[in-house]
Amino acid sequence: MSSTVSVSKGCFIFKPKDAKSRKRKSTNCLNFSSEAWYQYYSRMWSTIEKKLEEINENVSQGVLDDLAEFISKCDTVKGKISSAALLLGVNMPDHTTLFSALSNRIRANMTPHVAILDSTDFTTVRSAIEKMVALLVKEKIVDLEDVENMSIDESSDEEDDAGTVFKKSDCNLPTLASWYNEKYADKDDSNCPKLIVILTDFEGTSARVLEDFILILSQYTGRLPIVMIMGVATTASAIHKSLSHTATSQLSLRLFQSQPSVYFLNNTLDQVFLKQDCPFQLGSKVMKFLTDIFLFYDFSVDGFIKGIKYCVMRHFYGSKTNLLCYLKSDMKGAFEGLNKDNLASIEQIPSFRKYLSSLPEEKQTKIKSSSPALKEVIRNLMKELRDAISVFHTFLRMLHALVSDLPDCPLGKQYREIYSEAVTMKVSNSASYKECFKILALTSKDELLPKLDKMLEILEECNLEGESVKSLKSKLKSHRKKIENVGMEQTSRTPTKSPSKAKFNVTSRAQFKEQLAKLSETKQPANPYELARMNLLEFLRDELFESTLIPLTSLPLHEVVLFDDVASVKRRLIGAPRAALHTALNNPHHYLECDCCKLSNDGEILPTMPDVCIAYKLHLESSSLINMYDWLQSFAAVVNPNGDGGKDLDDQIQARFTQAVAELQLLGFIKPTKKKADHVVRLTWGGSA
Amino acid sequence: MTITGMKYQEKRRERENVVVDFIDDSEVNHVVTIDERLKMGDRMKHKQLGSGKSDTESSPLATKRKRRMNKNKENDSDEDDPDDYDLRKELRPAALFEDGDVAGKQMFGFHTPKKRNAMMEKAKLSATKTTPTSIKHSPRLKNTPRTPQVTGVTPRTRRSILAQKEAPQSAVSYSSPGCFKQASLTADRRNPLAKSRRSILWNDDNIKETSSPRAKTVLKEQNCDSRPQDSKVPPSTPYNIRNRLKSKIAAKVMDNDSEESDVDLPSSDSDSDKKSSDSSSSSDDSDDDNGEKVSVEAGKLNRVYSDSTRKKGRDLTYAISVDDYFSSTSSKKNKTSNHTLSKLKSPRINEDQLAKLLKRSHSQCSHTTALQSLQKLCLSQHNFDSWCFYLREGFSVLLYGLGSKKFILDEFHKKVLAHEHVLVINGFFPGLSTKEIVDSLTELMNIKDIPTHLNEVVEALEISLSRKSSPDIFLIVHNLDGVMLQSDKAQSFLSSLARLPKCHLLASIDHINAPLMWDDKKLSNYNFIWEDSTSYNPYFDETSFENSLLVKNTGGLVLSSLKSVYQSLTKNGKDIFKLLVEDHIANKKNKKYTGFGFSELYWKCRDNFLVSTDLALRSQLTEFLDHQILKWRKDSDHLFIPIDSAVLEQFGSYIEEQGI
Repeated sequence: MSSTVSVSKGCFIFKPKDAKSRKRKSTNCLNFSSEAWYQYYSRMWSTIEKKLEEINENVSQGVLDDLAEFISKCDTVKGKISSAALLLGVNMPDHTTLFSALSNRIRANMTPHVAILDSTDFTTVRSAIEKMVALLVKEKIVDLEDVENMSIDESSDEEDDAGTVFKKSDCNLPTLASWYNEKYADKDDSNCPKLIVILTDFEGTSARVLEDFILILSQYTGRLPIVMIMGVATTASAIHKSLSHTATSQLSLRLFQSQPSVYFLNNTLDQVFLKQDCPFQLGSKVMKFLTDIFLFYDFSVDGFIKGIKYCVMRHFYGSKTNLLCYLKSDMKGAFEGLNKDNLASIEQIPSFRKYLSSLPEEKQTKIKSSSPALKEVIRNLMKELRDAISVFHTFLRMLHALVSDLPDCPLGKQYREIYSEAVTMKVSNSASYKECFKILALTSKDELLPKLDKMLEILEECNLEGESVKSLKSKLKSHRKKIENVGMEQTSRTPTKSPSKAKFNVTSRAQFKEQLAKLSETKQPANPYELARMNLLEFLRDELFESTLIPLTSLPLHEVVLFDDVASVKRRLIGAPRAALHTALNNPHHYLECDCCKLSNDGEILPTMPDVCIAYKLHLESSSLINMYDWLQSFAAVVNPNGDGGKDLDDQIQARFTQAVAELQLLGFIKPTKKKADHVVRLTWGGSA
Repeated sequence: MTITGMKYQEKRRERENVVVDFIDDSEVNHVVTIDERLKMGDRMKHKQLGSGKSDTESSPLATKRKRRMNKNKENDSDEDDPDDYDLRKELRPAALFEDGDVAGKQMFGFHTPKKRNAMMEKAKLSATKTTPTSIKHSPRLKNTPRTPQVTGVTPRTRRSILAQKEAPQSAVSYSSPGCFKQASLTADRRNPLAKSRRSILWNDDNIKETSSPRAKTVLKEQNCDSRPQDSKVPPSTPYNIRNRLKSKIAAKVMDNDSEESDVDLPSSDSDSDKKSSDSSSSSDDSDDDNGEKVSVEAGKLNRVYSDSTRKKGRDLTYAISVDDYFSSTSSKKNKTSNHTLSKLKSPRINEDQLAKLLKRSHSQCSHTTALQSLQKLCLSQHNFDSWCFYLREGFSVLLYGLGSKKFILDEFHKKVLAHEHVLVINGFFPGLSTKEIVDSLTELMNIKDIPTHLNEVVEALEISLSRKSSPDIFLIVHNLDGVMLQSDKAQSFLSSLARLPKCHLLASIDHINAPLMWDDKKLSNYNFIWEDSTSYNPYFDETSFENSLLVKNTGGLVLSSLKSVYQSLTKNGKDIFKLLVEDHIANKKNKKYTGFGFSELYWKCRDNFLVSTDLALRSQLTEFLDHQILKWRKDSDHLFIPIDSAVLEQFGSYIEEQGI
């Protein structure tokens, strides 16, 4: 392989030599399909992806409906472009999906002429208009086909559309107008399909170019039924701020707002990942970490899904045990595919070993000796695990229905919050759980009944088998009935006898207090509703949730479905380049793990350290300017304490110093300056006086 | 403010510097046990106030504060702490930051102060963080009279040592006001004042004892900032008391100065410019001795500790404290010495020699085994396989950490991607352009007509990649944060490439601020998997293009390209260029030389029968202009060769030798 360093060029092309023969073959190094784990992974991820797509379609339904209605209803007034400002929020990466959903929908139902323009198209008015016209006209040729199909079609026979599309230089508004008039000459004005122009990123678009663009378009509003849709990430006032009045006066603007991205996140999580039928379960730490990235970094659902994708990848990558994390349809294959190797590594799973050791001796040896027996045990355990997961999710959802709208939300408002509480530790032991029941003990009947209904609904929906669940269900039903009927029966509410004044013949204040306290203690909630509520809560607390909400981590073999390796996720998804650099420079021992560079305190400089570390640590001492000569002398004094300083410096030390300084410059800690001869400027601060 | 007032202030400022050095000296020269130092607590405190610094390593106050801060810190990390609970209940990342990776937290976290002074206290904590160890060490340091000069290795304290030596010399050289170079005010005048400062310190203490506790603030004010109206603490002592104190201190100072530092007294009366110029010349004179002295003294120790009081928390305060920023930028005078590299035997090593020397020293490196194991870790097959998996699933791989990562990516290329379509981009190459990348990409994909716009290029690539038969392409970018790739345009281009399903990106970054290049959208397009691959490998290739101050630019590259251009010229072209070069060499000393006049050149060429018309000359010159070996100054119609005269001279002699 030839060298990739040159003084005259920066790019080097490498093509396979036997390109012809390998052309048909798919790329080798990316081909993992021979690996068992990869097959499981890809099947798993494709099912998840399918679900995500479905949800994506449903989730933005509302705003898409509104927009569609707007497009079909809006009139074309001469001189005014009817336009919609779509407020989307700052999660830019997610917008692409929404816009493609929008354009698909418009294309399918209303008009084939849709042009999606990105902010990069708005470098000049000319390029923007060319692109717009080309896209508007092009849709006619490929008609209603998918974007994906389109690109493939085009590439396969490029000559095909070469004749029909205008030349790029011809893509301007007059040609568009004449083309449009010709095409729809025989149609009624009201029946003509509209021309939809979508600007995906309003804030990123150059305002000057956009103004001109709008002014030019507005001149054609009489001839062309143009509708503009602008994606705005911040607020509606951004439009008025960046565009001048002349431009905005050409728009008849309507505002639309999409759901906040947190809503999308909750929806996606609830419907895809935190469900009993998703074999892959997220651990609480990873869950918290990913939601933190979402809430504190980018608000991007797209990013969140990518994070989960990484988790799934990590979970399956090279794993011998996690094949058991199969889809329901794969169950048979999964067990047949288990070979000795897999079984051996499954045996090593801590929770499984714990389970085995709890069994009687003879059974243990029997399991360990024969692989069919082991397989059988694993199969049973997996079945139990899956059932347990179903039960867990169902009852956790019920708990969520019960407590999600309590004041202060001790267990969190969203299902994901309550999930991350409950998945690793027993939720009934937590303080917030107890607090919830304290608050519940004060709820009124009107509040409690809908909650119970919802809980029953959830229980009804999932078809859980098993006697215990059924008995719980019937008990819950009876409790519900009791509470409902409390008001029905005639309550003979004789007010409790108010303590007669005679009783209070006390002589001192302290005595009086004592008696009052006694009274309040003995007072019973005689109210039948209160009684029923107490019974219900007792039932919920002691029976319903106690037995069902067992943390998944306490189950044998939970490792194969539950992913909770937060360290790996954190390291890979949010790098810490600056911290890594700082640590490497400041404390090389951390990476090198040598005995010679152990620091006893942070400020220490040892002569054995790598040169760049020494130079770095010395430079921390300086203020914004650094004298190279002094730096070099100090460096020499550290590196070679016995050598000559001053003028007669060892060339080698000087060379090492030169390299170290050049490296610090590359890393961005210093840069040359002309302020003073032979000085450099320090670009970081800290450690200076 | 009057002139005397200003001088007075300046003096005070000097004193302020002296405070620090005095304490250093006392630590260095006197045997002080911990107990004694604790007894001196008051003074220490005073010093802290006076110098406005937070290095209160041994005062009981500080330890108490530290304990408190430690407790605070525990609260921070402890999940179940009730005090913290409320804060946490509001939105607060639970899993992003953990105890384990405080480094990152310290570096980036802008801690929201929970108390009013939390930020300050945090800074102080980090400054005193290593107190226990330092206390353990410091007595030993102080008991051995040899050790103190250890501190000399850091530039700052070196200066104080310089100052000791320079003091008498500055007195000598004072009478000869020489050049008017800008100079550091501090270096040579510190020592004479040191003694006087000591007495002032004591006096200040006396004053403090007699007056109200408020006097401390006053002192602080006066010491750390001579202009009361600028100081942050509003003076709350009654005016007359302040005045009295001020005049007392002033009197003391004047006394001490006149008694002990007769060097400075006259200088304070004269122009301060002169003074500074003197100091520069004197420091130059004495420099050789100092360098030797320092290294000899440092040589007596195997382990080199940096300044014990000052160094504390250096690395921790790195990028944490906002205050640090202000203190580093607010000081107007940069107190650096005036030494230049020309004092060295060989001020600038040339490139070849440097490479040779480095190769030698690299082979002598002490950490060979550790480095090798690090490298092995980076190059492990397991790593490479998982990278393939990431790439396959639409992620990009980004390497970060100290050390050149070029060899890792090269190895990956060699081992895994040997039979693939690969484009290697050297981001560190200063001549790189997006056009070059586009050209190479289109060549790689056999796209014939190259669109002009970058996003059209991406579209064209997308179309050509979406063909079933088209292979996956791999982009390997060494230094995604290279100078030419730092622009928003280049980054959005690369990120949109990385987004394409059949285009896979592996890249490395080195610059500390590299992540600032990416916004949400670009990050999402890149979809990075971050890999810490610290290897400590020297950045030879990456730094080879940099113009280091210490490297002599031989211009070998320029010369050779000049030669090759020259050789491809026609005979007449060569002669014309020769004319230009000769003129440049003849005028190399002339600072006002702007180039060869066009008409002058024309007539000269005509005389030599090189060209016959104006047009012919212009077409000849176009060739030079295209190769950028000539610049046409349109305003004055002069022609100028933008190449270093030394290189031109070499070139001239080369032509003569070759006789061409």
